[in-house]
Amino acid sequence: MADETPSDPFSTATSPSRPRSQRSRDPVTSSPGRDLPPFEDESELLGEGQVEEEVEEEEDGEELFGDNMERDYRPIPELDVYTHEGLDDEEYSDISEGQRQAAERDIRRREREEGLLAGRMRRGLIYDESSEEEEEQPRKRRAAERAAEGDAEDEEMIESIENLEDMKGHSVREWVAMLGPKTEIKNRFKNFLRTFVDSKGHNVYREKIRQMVEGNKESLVVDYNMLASVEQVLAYFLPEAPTEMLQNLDEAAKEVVLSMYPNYERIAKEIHVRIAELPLIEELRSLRQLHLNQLIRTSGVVTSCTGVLPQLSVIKYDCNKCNYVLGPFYQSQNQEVKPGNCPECQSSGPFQINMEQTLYKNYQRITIQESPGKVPAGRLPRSKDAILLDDLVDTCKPGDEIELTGVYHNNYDGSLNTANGFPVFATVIQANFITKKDDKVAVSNMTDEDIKAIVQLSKDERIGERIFVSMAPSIYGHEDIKRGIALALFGGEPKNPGGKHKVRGDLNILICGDPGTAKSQFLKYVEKTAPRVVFTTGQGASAVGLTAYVQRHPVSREWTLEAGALVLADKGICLIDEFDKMNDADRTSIHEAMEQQTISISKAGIVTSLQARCAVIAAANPIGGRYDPSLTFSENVDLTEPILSRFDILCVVRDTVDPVVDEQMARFVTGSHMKHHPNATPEEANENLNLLNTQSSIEPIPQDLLKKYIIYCRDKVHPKLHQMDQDKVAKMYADLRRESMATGSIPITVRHIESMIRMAEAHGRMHLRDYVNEDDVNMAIRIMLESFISTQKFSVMRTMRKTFGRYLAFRKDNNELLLFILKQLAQDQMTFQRNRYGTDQEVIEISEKDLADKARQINITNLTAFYDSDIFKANRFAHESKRKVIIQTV
Amino acid sequence: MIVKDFRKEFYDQIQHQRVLLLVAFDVDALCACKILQSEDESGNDSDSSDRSVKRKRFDDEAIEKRRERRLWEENRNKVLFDYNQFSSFGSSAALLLFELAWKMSKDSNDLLWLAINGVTDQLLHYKTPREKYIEDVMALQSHVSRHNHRDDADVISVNCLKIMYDDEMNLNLYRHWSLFDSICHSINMACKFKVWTLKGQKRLNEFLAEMGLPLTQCKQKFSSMDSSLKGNIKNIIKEHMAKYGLEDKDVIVPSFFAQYGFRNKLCAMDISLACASILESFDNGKTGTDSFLLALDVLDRSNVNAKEKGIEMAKNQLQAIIKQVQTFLDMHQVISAGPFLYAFIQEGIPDVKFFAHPQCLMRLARFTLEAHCSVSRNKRAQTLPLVLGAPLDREQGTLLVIGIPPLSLDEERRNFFGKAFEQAATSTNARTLHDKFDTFIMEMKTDDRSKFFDALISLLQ
Repeated sequence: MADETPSDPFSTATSPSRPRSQRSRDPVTSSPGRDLPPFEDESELLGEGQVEEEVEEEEDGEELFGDNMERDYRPIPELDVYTHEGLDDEEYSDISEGQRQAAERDIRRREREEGLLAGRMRRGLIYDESSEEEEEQPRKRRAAERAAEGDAEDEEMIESIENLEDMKGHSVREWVAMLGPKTEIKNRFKNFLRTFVDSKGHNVYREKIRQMVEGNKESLVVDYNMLASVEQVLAYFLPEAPTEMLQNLDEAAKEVVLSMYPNYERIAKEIHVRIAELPLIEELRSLRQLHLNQLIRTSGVVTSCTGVLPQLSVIKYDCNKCNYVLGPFYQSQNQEVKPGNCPECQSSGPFQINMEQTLYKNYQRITIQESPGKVPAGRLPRSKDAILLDDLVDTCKPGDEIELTGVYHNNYDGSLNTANGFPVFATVIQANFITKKDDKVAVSNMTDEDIKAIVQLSKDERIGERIFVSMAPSIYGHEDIKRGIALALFGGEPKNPGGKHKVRGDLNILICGDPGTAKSQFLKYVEKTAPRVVFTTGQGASAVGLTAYVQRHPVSREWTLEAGALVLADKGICLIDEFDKMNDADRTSIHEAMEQQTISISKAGIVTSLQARCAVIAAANPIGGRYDPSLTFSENVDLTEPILSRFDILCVVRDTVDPVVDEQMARFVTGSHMKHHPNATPEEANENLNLLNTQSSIEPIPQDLLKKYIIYCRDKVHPKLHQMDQDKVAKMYADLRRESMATGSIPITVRHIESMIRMAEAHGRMHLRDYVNEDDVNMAIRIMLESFISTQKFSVMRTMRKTFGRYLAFRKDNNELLLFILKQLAQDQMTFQRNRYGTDQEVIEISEKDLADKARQINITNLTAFYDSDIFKANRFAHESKRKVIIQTV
Repeated sequence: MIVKDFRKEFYDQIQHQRVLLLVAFDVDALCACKILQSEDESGNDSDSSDRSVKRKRFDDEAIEKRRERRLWEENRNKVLFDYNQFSSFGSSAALLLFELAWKMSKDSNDLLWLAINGVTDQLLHYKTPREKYIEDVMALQSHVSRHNHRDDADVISVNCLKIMYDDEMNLNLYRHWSLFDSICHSINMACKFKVWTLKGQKRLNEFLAEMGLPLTQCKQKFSSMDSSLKGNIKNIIKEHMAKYGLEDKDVIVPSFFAQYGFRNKLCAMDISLACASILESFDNGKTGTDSFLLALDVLDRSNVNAKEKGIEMAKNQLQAIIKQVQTFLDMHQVISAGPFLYAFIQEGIPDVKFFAHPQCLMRLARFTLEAHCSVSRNKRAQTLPLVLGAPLDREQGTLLVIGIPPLSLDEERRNFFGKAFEQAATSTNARTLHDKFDTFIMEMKTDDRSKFFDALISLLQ
């Protein structure tokens, strides 16, 4: 290809036959051993007079021989087309030198691209491609230069693919470590990094290197499949002799990076090539002798990890006798390199490590265990140690599910031998690349587009409603719980008055109710949606498991503090299912965490206080399994007053029998099952989607966007209380106190004012507001009241609803209110009919006047809109204006 | 301060008389004031008793007279209309006064340092074009070399003020900040990289990486940076800036340093910024006079605490500015009204108190205009001036409005908004107050905003 000198007129012949001629020339020039004379002849020919294109073509063909010959005879459709017009050349003859060279360069570039795409280019020639200018030099000269250097690897440097594969009787590891193949491998890899272009025409690795450099990182992730598609040999060597290969690749990558960013060495001393997407995934269980010293990819859960220790990387010794500094010695992974004797004074030691000049690197050992889901039935999970070096340390923490690519090593372990009595080895994986299964999104890695979408979303007037609707979309009804959970996900604003003590900003929720009312489903939903969640169940969690415990560290044998669930959920949400099943003793341990948001420890000589700034969402069953509406909340639940008052929102879920709602629910559930079947086709899913959406006209937010929205709000939005309606809150509080005293349900304490403020803040944050406004306060009051009223005895509930009616009506649709009243009427009517006639009636008639009377009490006079509304029909009501009755068919 | 020229007879006239100094609220005037003070103190002792009573009272008709005369001249000569149509700035008053002191052989290194600060301030607040600044710097440099010329460097005690001339990076306060923050808060660099976008941040990171500056180093305090990097930083940036479209004038500004004692080297730009921010600080109950006196303290070279406080304040100001610029751009609040661009700072944001002062508003306006031009696809953006309004007083419902000339006329540094504002106000009977020193800054009632702007648009079309 591009090895003719610039003066070669052949390539400058700008006659229309250019494409054809270069096509035909391509195979010839790409063979390295070929000399140039035939071209020179030809160029003279061409230079003198403009020869017919056919002649040129023929001559070209004649000069070819060998294995490339047949390529010239493959069908080239353009051939005929160009011959006709080739004769006209006057306008091109007086081309200037500069233009000519530009044209030449152009041609060469295009040739290379074509060659690349068609895969015709010989990979062994990469040193010619390192830059455009370089290739101006004739290869002969380079070869001569190299010969002059007299290097032994000279021959092998010009090795082509066939030769690299042929290992001349060496094993792969030996072959790869030899100087010649090593250089060749590096050259090929460098070429790969520089020139690899993906299907869209992006230069992938140039971009990746740029990203790496931007982040000041030292890991370059290389896709194995991309490597395999271009450099099969490298891809073949890599898993076979990973240690040596990775070293080669690291060096090559470093050279490439430094050629792009000459000063990068100041930032990162080494560049590590990380191999991603290795095609074969081995189970931890199936690692065998076969895999020793190979590159493997496996997956598992991190069960423990040590602290980050410094590991000797380059060591220097002081000679104690003459103070000569020995070294540097490069430490290998599994044994210590020690000097024999001092070259200065010939003494054989002892030597002391020179602290100043010795280099260390980060070292961390983790244990990974098979993921519970992947363990074959009836077996215990196996585990394996892995070593993380350099920038890999602390990329994963216990509990993460990771995929690990690394070298499977064995190392000698004396204790194993004494135990087993014959030579066996312990094995360890030296990690090369780690991906976490669920890299949680954070604000820092949100793109501008994400933020734009979030801001856009927040402009929607009904964003609050939309968020409420989007909570757990596969659960039917339970709007109050959804509202509560939405507020808890966004959370209030923690305050620290005067730096003395903190006032919590997180909202705690207790969901209590009959079995089978999707309580745990809600918790599971939160677990999937919120940015940082720890899920526990009452039975499975002990007091120390929730707070913190002291443990002897398995390696260092020291007492260390291990975090419990609440501490791990710091700045997130802690979910506790089956809250009532917990021991009282265990439950009291979280009192401190729920209000003060710290956990104080004084155990085993450790006296400290840990942060536990988390919201608690708990689910509990009532005493005896069913919620008895004739009793108050505290009588229904086996929970003490202190812990109840620590919950901001109490949600009572009752499983009431209502034929219409039940039918809708059943429809919804079957629809949901049909829709979410793993094998459902998109059409089916869409079809059923309509069914699900009949409930409300509000369009839910996609869950991915919702997650980002929550993260963004929690991080960026800090609503302030500004001219809040204090009178309203004060009056509300006084009313609530009075009612609470009178009815003796849950106690109302000052905490409830705080929780009201928190809810208002959370609601404001949901709307990306800088200041809490009237709406937020009203909504907070409504939720607070709903929570309070739901905890009352059934008998009190009605009167109370009336008392606080105007607060409760906030943001509620008139239609919803009317429906509620109508349902009550229908209920009464049904009971009446049942008692009167003994059997259940198919049709219930309610007089229009009754409804109108009730409606007037809440200031609604016009009912026609309600009769026409969807919600009216969806509940199987029908209005007969002639008879002035409303009919419900059951 | 209006100081045009001190002629001999004028000086005679004011001798032994009380003098009223009208002091503009900027650093330049402050420096000039200080120079004048010290001249007086060293000069005629007879007056010292008067002066000790009160510093800026003085009462005299001399300057009044000159103003009257100028007014009269305006009336007489309509040619002067052109002069009025544009307001521009002359030489730094501090420099003039210093030269006066020099002529009187009363100049010293301290006074020189003040003059430098005055000149620097003019550059920082876009009052002189760059050429003029460089001219001034050249003039000052000769003074500097005259004053700081020693045969043997060791002779100078560290307790003496030593001034040096050097090229300085046009990065705000970077010696007292981290390099990264400084780049993000300096107009030229920030606008070139568009640091308020994610892409810009990435580009900036790439730029730093290309220079071989680790991010961790760049994000820590500059004074704690690796000394090998710290010493070279200017050269490193100079080497690599071309690839990122940075020009010499974006990055390098000739400036001066002062060294005094073993404390940090002080850069004239940093001091000017610190002083300006103190001058416009807004602590509760602090009057203009208080901040004026505090700002004088900052100029006092021995007062390190005041200086540090000023620098912190300047950082806050810069952060508020960049935040506001980002808001403007994100929310697309810079709107083209045809003949000019305009933007309003919304009431109620916490940073609003920073922008209720002319100098800071001036810098914000400039930053906004440059940032807008750097992201705008509209070719005309370069040729449009910007009018920026900031809420001034919530209770009284007033607004501080500033107009700055378009970027394409940057070399002239003259501002036609003064006259335009006046005309628009009179034509609409808007309740405006033109009592700021610079005519292109004025106060107005928030209610009159829309009609005023309608008038302004039709006026400028």
